[in-house]
Amino acid sequence: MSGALEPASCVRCGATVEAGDARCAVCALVLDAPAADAAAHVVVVRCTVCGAAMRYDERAGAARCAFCGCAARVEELADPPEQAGWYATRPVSPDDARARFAAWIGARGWLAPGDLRDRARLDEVRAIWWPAWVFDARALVSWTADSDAGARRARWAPHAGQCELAFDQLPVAASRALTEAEARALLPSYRLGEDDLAGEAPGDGDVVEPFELPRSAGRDRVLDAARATAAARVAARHVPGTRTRRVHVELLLRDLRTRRVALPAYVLAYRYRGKLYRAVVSGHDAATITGAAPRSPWKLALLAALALAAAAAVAWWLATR
Amino acid sequence: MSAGPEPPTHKTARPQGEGPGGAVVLGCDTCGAVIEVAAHERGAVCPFCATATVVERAPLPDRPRPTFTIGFAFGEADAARRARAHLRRQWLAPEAVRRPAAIELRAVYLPAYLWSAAARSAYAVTIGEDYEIEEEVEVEVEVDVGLPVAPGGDAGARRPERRPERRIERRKRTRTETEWHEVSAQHACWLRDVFVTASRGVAPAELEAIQPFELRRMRRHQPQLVAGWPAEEPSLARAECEQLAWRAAEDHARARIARQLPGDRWRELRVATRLDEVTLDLVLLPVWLASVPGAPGARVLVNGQTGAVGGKAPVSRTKVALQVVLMMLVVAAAAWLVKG
Repeated sequence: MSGALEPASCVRCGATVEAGDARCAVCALVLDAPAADAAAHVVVVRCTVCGAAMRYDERAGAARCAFCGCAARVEELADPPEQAGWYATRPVSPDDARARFAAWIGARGWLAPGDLRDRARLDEVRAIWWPAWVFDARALVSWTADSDAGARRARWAPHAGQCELAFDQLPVAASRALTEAEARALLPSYRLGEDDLAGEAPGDGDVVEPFELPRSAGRDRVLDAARATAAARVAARHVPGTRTRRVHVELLLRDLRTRRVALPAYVLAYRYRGKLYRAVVSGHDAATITGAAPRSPWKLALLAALALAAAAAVAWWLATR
Repeated sequence: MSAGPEPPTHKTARPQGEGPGGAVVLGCDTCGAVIEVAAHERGAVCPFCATATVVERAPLPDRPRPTFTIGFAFGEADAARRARAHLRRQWLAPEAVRRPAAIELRAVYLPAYLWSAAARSAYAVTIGEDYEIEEEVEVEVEVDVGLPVAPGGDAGARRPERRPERRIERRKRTRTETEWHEVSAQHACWLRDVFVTASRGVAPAELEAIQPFELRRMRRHQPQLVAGWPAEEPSLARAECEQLAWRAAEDHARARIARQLPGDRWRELRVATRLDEVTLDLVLLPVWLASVPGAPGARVLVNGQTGAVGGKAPVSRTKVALQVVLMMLVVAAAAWLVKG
């Protein structure tokens, strides 16, 4: 499924508004206020079962009938669980993923066991779709920071400023199945334009990881990501000097558009000497692979011994100098 | 939360007429008794058959219809416990207020404006960056030069006294200094989720004391959320509430700016804030008001959603006098000890 309909926008800040929203998630503008009957009227809330007049009950959080105990349904503000509306294309096939894994396992570096390539047995290649938010926005960023520019006797000098930033197709991982490091390694491999997110819905054998957050918590994560990205960009491009600390940003966000996407990947479970490891290949770009690999305990011990010997040699040299 | 089989019937009727001072006169839908709902109230409970009626008046600029309502979640018994605990913590209040024989508790849906705006501020501040300098200082130290040897090593001789000697030594010391910089910049943010009271009966500081409310539990206003509970109409004009919002905005913008100032310390923060795209929406907030009979200055507010407590209590002159005397005694004792 792909989100073909143009979503509604907040008239004040331009952020995407979704069905059931009572207020804009960015600027808190009240949306879609129900039309009020202009004429004065009186209302008696009556039970539909026994007809008795009902009264609000604080334990039920709704009007409750004192005679038959029925509680009225109350309209809650919508905060449904997130669901992917866009699926990224998956140009990488399972065979491509296997081939990439074969190359990757043979190039695990000097610390890997010498027989890793021959003895690693691939148990399973599973196609998964993992969840992420992709957002676009622009922001007026007010920033403050300390840097070495303009410092006199102290190491730091204060700076403050304001700049316009644009966030284009910024992904934020929402997966719990992938580790943070795996998600971070995979994210740059996905192209996130309109065409790249027009993939087909997953097949029967595919695992689709759900978003495990309600809408409001998801928005908080996106806003946190926008702040973190803005702070990193400000520190890199706008704060003068070569060293910075205490970079703070405040965002006046406009036109926030968030898409909930499912990103394809292959999880390759493999065994080495009976122990299970896994690698993950991007479903968008077979060159991107991340994962865990065993290390040779003998080589690790040798490395530790060499480090100790080097430390002892330095200590001896310092002592006899 | 239990749910009934169907939504309740909202029986709607026109009021029968107007009473004095803008009161609404209506006939009870169950027993036909004539009920008068005062101008500042949004509903009534029939004294004869306990039928709860909600009055939705025609909206006016100073009396809009509520957009949202936050329902009560705290019952009377819990609210009374919190109010009593709050009063017990007022050490300077008269004992009759701290441990009252009885308290009067009243529930009310308090009208307040939930406002939001784009705040643009220009600010100037003096920022301090700390640095350390090492310096040599002369300090006077006592050096123990040992015991003098008793002549002849006489065992029966009187034990000689230690002879400490005072010397001047040069020592290194690290001192923290602050370098001050003038910084001026612009700041912009969305200010949101701030309430200002729309009731003359509750001061802004009183409402501030029992915030925050959990806005994710806020619902679009429906009569069934206030049925049977006293709910007030706004008694402050919208313009007055806008003024309160302005003042609150300045405080909030200043606090946001102060939170993100660089440096190790700051002073002389000057902020000028401009608000754009301001919106105010009327919300009914659940509040328990507790008072102590016979103590007009004692009033406690309990947040009907979260149980947060705030409020004031009168001060006992005797307790204040005793405290002053006690402090004077402590100061005198300290001075005597130092002098001794």
